[in-house]
Amino acid sequence: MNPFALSAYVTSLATTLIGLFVYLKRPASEVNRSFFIYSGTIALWALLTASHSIAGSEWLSLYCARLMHVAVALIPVLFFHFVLILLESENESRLRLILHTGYAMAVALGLGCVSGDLFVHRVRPKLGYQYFMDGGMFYPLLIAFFTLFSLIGLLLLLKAIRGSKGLRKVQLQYLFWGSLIGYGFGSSNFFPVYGVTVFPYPYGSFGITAYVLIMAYAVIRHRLLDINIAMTRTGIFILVYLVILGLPFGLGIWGRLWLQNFFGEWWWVFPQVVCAVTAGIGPFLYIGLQQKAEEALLKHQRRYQHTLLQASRGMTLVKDLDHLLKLTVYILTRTIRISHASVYIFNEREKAYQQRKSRLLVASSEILQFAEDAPLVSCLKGIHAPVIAEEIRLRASLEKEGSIAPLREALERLKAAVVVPSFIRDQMIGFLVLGEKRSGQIYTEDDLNTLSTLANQAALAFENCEFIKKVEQTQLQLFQAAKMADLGTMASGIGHQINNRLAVIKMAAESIVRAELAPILEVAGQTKNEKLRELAVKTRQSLERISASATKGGEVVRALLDFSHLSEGFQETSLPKALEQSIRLLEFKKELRDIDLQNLVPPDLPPIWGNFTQLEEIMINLLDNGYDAIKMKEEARERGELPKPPNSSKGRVTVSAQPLQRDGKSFIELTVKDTGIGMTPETQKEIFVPFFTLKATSIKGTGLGLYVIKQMVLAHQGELFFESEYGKGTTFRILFPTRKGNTP
Amino acid sequence: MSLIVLVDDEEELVRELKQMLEIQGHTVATATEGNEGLALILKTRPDLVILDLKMPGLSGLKILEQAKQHDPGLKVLMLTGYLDEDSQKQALQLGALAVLGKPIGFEEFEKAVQTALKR
Repeated sequence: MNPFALSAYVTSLATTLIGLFVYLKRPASEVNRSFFIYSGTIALWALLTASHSIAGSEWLSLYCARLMHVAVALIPVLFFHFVLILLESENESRLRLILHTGYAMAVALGLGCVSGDLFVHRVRPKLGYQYFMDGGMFYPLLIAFFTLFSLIGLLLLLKAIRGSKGLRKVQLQYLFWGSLIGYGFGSSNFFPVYGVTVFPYPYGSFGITAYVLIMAYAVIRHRLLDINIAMTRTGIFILVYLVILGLPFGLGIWGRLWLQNFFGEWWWVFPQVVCAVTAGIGPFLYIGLQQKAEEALLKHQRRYQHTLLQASRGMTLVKDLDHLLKLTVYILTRTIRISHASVYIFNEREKAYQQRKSRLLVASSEILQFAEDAPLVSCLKGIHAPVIAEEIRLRASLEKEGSIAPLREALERLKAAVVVPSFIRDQMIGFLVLGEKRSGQIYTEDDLNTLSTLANQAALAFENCEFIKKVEQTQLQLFQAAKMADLGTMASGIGHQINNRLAVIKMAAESIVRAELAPILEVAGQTKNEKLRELAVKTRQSLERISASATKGGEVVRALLDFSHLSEGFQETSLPKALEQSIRLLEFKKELRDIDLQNLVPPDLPPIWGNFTQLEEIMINLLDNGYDAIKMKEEARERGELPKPPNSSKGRVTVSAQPLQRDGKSFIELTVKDTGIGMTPETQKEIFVPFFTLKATSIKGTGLGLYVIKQMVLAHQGELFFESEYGKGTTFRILFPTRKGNTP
Repeated sequence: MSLIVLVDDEEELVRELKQMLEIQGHTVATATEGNEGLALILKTRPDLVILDLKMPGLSGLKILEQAKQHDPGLKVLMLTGYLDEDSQKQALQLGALAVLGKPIGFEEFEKAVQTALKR
């Protein structure tokens, strides 16, 4: 085995492998098929070249030599064809012409090679090989054709590179440089035909292997390193390792004599030590040089990445959500010069990702919202990393099936170049949609890493804002509750004071009637003074009214005191009593005469297991809501939003209750039905959310009512149901257990 | 005629009630503070005691308890602005004859006093 044959066999293997790999990746694709055929031909040629140089018999060597030149003729044309398909220009008439001409010439040359000796003259021992070919008269023609056509192919590529941008451009660049190296070094195989043994002979074929490796990298990695960086890194790597390995080797080979003088038998230790030392510092040297080189290359890019990182750190300090979003899109569009940027955030209630902020992008309704299961969303969640529009476009055009198509469409509608997801732990709380960079450059791996960091920082900052908002809301709730508790304690003292006053009023009034008026009436009777008698009677009547009023006042106070005196714990509670109290208390708040309130609760209803105060609270809230609903319906009728029936009677709230058996357990079912405005299906979803309220400012509501009711019903181990129809009314049904531990 | 001791921290009310009771011919001694009231009860031997539940110093219930200890046959009526179930029960348990709510009418009050005295 000689180095020439070895390098050729290696090449053959490498090209076969990559050809197969690309083919198997997507057998249906024309590009992949074309590449396979091209690679296969190179493999065949390499195989035959190698074989011809180590063939044992003259005949075999010549046979191989002649055959391999068919491949030689075809290779550049196949390359050209492949490039055409890749650039999707197979149909350009001028290029088609070149292609067909090429094939024609290749076929002609190939035939010429195998028949006769005009091209491949003969084989003979030379240059140390058993048999090696000599070129015939027309052989130079073949060389010329090969060179010319490969140059045409490369020039076509070069033109395409100039006119492309982004990922495409980088891919083409890889192909160009790889092929250039391959053809460049590969053509050194022509040298031995004329006895030329200059470098890169006999290792020229390794150039083709290098080409294969480059292509492999370009094919396997979707996201390629910028070619400048790739070449720089490779260059530095080769340089550094030449030093690391070359130094000790060189010492060993050329310095042997000198070393043997010094160290005698142990001369070889010295190079070994040198090797160890250089191997030790090698990696550091490599990294150091690489960093320096890339810093210089990427100075511009690094600068804005730095800006981005700084900005993302500052983000978590922003407390206001709106401000945060504005900041995010501003940084993206201004500082790193992106054509447009938008932020999408997940809305819990709507279960969709909504566009919350956008800069420099024209809004259209179809891109304002994305459902949880939209293709873009699923893709982002699946890969947990940024989505690059160009890659998707590439895949969509290569894969003829339609699964990628909706994703590509979505990206197109967004005019997005990159979509970066934002994750908090494992939940995707939103994503950033970014347009092309204004400079036209692609988003490199570094860029995407930085953007991901930014996105995740933004997610943290966002969570921060939401948390603060919740805390504020909770604080409000707490203040309200504290205020209520205070009111409760005050109420007790105030109630007493008022009761005492009322007691005095009542006593005093009645005292006058007994102590003073009675004798006056007597005197009037005795003196038959009609006028006096009349006055006395009138006085007495007034005083009686005063007394009655004082009594009523006492009842009011008592109701208030009953309510503020929170009964704790659960016990047998009378629902009818609680209802009575609730109605009485409600009368303070609302003008109950405006509605028709029907209390159909039987007074002998069996007790429930509950808390009296909470029961009151529940019923006050339900009745209150019913009253408000009726009022809102009236207002809607006034505004014309709802039809006004000819004989509209007063709105009605009906309260009823009855025992109920279910699953062997007994309950009391309380029903509160109103003929008010009712609720739309959207509203029905929201009503138990704290702070949700539909009540306009005319009827003030804190929005806590139904939420509190729900909590209380749950505390009673009860259940809450409701039915509602917008424009018709609402019915609430609550089941209360009648016995302790009676869980439904 | 009977001696009635009236204890309530509301001066005006005490005046009214006293006037009313005196018209009916009773003798009335009053106190507007808890400890004062208890001392008064223990000193004299009233036929009837009318006590307010909530007072500064000693509470109505405490006075009731101690007075009853001193004289188990003592007749006591409780007056209160707030008809709290627990307090009501306690008062009755401690031996009060009845718990009356404020505000109270002339007739009602009169009837209660008469009934209490007759027992």
